[in-house]
Amino acid sequence: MIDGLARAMLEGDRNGDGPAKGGDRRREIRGMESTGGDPTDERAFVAALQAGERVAFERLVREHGARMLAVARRMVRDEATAQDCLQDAFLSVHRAIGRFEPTGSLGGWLHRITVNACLMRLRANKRLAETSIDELLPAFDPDGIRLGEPRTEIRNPEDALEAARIRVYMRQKIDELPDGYRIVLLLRDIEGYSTREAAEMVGVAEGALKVRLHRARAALKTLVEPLWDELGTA
Amino acid sequence: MITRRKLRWRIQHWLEARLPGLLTCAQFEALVDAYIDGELGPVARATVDFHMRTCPVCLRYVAAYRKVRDMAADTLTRPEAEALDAIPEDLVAAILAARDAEAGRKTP
Repeated sequence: MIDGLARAMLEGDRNGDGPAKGGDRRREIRGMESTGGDPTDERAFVAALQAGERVAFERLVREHGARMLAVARRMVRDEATAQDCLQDAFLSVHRAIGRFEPTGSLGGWLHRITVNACLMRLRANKRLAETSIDELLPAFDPDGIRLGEPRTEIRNPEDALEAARIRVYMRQKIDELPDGYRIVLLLRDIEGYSTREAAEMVGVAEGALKVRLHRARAALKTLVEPLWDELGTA
Repeated sequence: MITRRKLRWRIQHWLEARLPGLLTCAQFEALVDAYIDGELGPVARATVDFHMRTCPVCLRYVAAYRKVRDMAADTLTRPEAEALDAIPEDLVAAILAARDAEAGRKTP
């Protein structure tokens, strides 16, 4: 995929004065950052969880369950499997809470456990394998010239109704991506994990994850292109 | 029939494929993610910028590529997409029951 010149440029920059790995777009883990509460309270809460207090565990489920369920819904798409994943995740929390370091972010830890529970389900159903999406990827002629007509940038939606309609459309198109690509897109672009973290979670090398991310983004762009014709351009 | 503009464009791309330090569209494609994610250093970034200044197709491609990435993030992370207020009560009960079973206790 990446030819010699492009690879040399990427590696040259890595050895030189390029920005920190992960880029300036690195976000906090989506929606699971600290709630901004009193850290002393959180430490006491974690201590209660580690002591095995049922009341504390129920509070954890009620306070964090909705966000974790939202993550699971994004990852596995159907509601029943998402709820199964959430249950798996809370059982993992119950088993592993003794090893949680109170200095870390509880929300970030819960997020990662939820993602891992979903990945285990997807892996068990063999839904993470890389499949061919070549027909959705950009094409080039033998001289490396991009084939296809140039597109003008899509215009922004005119009102809230149109914006909502676009989001429904986008959601359908994201769901059309094979899971092996959709998950990589979610982990990097939505859930906020770095390339290295996402590669570890999916169980592939960093280079392979970058290739998959690129294919996922490029394929989604192709799938969304009918919007250009429907909405008109900027 | 080929127009003068298209001819100029083809010559330019022919040179890009052969002159060191210039990118073809295919080489540019391999750098798109690092470019829009802000992971390129100054030299690579300048080379990518130069390609976009001379190739309107790639310039539009990268704008659309970035826009679709941002639209996807916006779609999946809006509060109504996340339904944050909803964790079904029967699911809470099931989680607690599973936890109690694992802890070797009876569900109250």
